[in-house]
Amino acid sequence: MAKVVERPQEKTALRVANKPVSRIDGIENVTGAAKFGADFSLPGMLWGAILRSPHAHARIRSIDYSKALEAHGVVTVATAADFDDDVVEPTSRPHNVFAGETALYLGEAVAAVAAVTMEDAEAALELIEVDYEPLPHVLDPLRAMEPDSPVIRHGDGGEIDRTEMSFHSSVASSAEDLEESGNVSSQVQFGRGDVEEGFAEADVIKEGRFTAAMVHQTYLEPHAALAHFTPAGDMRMWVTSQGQFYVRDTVARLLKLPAHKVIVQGTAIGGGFGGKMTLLAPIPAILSKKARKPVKVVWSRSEELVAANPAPGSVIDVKIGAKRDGTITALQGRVVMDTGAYPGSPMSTATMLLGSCYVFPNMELEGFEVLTNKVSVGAYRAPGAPNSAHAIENVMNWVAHEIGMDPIDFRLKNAIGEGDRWPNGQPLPNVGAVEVLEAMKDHPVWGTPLAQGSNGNPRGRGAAIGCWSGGAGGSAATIKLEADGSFSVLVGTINLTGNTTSIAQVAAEELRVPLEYVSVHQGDTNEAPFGPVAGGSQVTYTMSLSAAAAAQDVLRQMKSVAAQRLGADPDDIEFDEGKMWAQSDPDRYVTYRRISDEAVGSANGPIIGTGHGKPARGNPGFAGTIADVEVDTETGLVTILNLVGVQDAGFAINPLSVKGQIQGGTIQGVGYALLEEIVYDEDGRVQNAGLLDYRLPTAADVPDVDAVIVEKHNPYGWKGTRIVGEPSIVPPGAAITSAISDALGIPLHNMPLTPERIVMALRDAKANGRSNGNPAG
Amino acid sequence: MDYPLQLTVNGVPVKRIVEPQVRLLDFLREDLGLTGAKEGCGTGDCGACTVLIDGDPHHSCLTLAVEAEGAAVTTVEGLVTDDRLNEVQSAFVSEGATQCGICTPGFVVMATAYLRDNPNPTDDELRMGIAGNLCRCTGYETIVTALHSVIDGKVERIEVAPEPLELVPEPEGE
Repeated sequence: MAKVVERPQEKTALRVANKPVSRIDGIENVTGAAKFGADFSLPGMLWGAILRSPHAHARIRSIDYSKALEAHGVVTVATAADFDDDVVEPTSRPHNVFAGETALYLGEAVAAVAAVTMEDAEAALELIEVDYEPLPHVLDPLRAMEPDSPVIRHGDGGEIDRTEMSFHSSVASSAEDLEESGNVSSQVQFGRGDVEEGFAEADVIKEGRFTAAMVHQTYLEPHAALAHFTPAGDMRMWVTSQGQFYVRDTVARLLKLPAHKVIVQGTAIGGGFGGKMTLLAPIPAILSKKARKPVKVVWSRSEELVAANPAPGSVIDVKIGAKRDGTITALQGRVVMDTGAYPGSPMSTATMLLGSCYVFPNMELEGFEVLTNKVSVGAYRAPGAPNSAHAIENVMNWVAHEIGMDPIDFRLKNAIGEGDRWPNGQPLPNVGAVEVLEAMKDHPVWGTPLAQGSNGNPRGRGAAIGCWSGGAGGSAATIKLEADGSFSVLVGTINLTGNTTSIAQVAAEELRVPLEYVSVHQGDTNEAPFGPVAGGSQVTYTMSLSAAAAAQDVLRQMKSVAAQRLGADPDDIEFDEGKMWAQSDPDRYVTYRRISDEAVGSANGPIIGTGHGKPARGNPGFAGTIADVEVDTETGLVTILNLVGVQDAGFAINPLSVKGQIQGGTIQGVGYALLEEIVYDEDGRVQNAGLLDYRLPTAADVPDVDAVIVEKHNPYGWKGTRIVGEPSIVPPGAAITSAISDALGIPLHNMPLTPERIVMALRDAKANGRSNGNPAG
Repeated sequence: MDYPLQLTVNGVPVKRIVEPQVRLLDFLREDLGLTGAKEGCGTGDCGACTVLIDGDPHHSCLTLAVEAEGAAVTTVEGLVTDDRLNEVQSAFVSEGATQCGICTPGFVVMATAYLRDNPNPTDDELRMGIAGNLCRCTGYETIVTALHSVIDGKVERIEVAPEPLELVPEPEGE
């Protein structure tokens, strides 16, 4: 399953790390015992419902909720007026809980009601009188860049808040954000060499314009939060979020409460993928503060699809030049990213990633983040990267086709490696691009020619790679030695898809005990040490370091107790499987149990270790996909025959969960490639705000993913660990669309390639006489 | 208008007064505190709210509580017997078929009923049989593998209570 390409010799054999382990919380998940966001309730609790703008762009002249307050069961109503001006940042979605002077998209929250029942709350929404003055709106980002487009403005302007995007990527941008103009809220440029000279040296130049749709993370658990402002002035919250400390800080700031009085318990989280941060939590918090009662708010699926923070659509131009021998000479790229009504899209990352997998001697990249009257976008698993990979990797395949080179060999010839520089000038550490490509080349699917399609339907193959820089935040953990010699670990990070199991493996490995001796508890924001947002693939990357450090702190304290009891020097103490002994006298030992007993009664007190961790730097993770498809040219239906997902995990702490991440990310990529798209009508209303019309892949739509783990030691991670969660979603969209293009013999430029788009593309190609069997056009 | 409702939930007789518009999902979650069934969409498209009514899988988000009058309802909380997970639950744990876990209750309830009625499906039949349940994390592969291990009779039911720790003996004379 795993292919170790680089690993230093371990002093002692590994016990639990790097072994496939079932989830330590598996039983909770399969019995319904795990408590998710909507599963928490309190006595006397009220229900909150949200009034949303029916206009894509409108001035709010006045809001009168007096009738709603008199309605049956209603306790309170909240609007933008409940937040002080000095805490609201007009351009920051998280700090702009309700629309103020202007509603900027259809579905933007305008007011919220708390009532005894959900029915009462929803009925009262209709009694709130909002006087709207509709304004001209713009939905298409290219149209929004034109000088005569309607312009979107947030209050008085102000600094643009980019906190959320910074969780997902630790790569600093060297390009300066240029001045805001029209609806362009941000602009970046990256350059190197001279692209004109580069293209002049090229034997082959290929280019295209690629569109990717706005898609939704579609975590199956909608946003939910319960807030209780207690008589003692504590704001106690149970929230499904990827970052309980981020929720805490946001609520404390908006409601002007001391941080330690806002006590947030992150619940079990039913998927986040970057989309679950702080969107909802301030609403039940303000309602509870006003009502002085617990208030719960749970979003419907339709609210999710209309008003959450989906992933951005984009228009990306890419032009690549290469010599006949496969040497790339130049890259030119331009990203236009639709950020919706608020800034904060991953435009700058998407622009940089165009030039991040290969060595481009000459390069010119520019990116524009554009405001439109649609819901503002957020992060979705490697934000912006699937859009970038779709564009760059399709053109890479066109160039390879044109010069008659194997597409993987073409990539290997130009692959980026240690010491090479990203577009922002940052030199790379020992990334695994080459090793991922080699594993793809070695895979049996790549070596087996495509068989004839059924009923004469064409088959095609596509390969693509992609990368993601990931986060490298600081974290902490504590570990207690318990009375029977077992250990409990306390963390403040959210258990997003099983990272507590990996943390338990790390602790057990360091403490040299079986996994059953370790439990991991996620405490609330007052109990637990700080843990960073579970985003940017960073939790296991950083928490493995802090858990290991906490274990070492525990061991140091234990050795001191053992040394005293054995009359030995602490440095002479050796340990294993629940026992400590002096190396000079290995026949005598003390058990961990006895050490706990002694410590509890001693002046130094019970044993509790603290560890801090932060990877010295991020180290981008690379992933690759091979896709084989068959296309029904009559209906446009695509059947995926083979999917291979390769990823460099550095050191897979739990290969079972790493494999699960590769499979899951790859299938989400199938959604990008074939199915998913939030569709707006001309009024700015989402046309497919339900899971019947917003189509996710089902078990019947997808094949198994052959997940291949490559392990190339990362010097900055615990035992070589790299980021894992995100890279797998980056290349599949590119690989699958490229395979379809290969099957049909025409270049294709859009994601998703729905049956309708495929049939239309075939019809266009025929009409234009371009069905020449050349996928490179 | 209130309605007197009598039914059996996970083997326990229940008598409650409910309003006729209350969904079975809300009745189970809010009135009985059985939060295992989840609401992922509210429109019958995701399967996270699946429960058994007289043994047959139903979307509890599209079923009124009063429709379950006199019925035996089984939720995910009712699948554990003799302190052991059932075979589907056990296989989900062993194969890593649960990631975030929100779709898992609906999936194990649905799959338990499906495999009872279709003990030997082909891979295609199995995938079609569970296509009404959405999972966003796993890509379905570990779920399908888990269910194949049930079909192949390879699953040992997992005990819910943890095994006692094997303690290191204290040195002699202590």
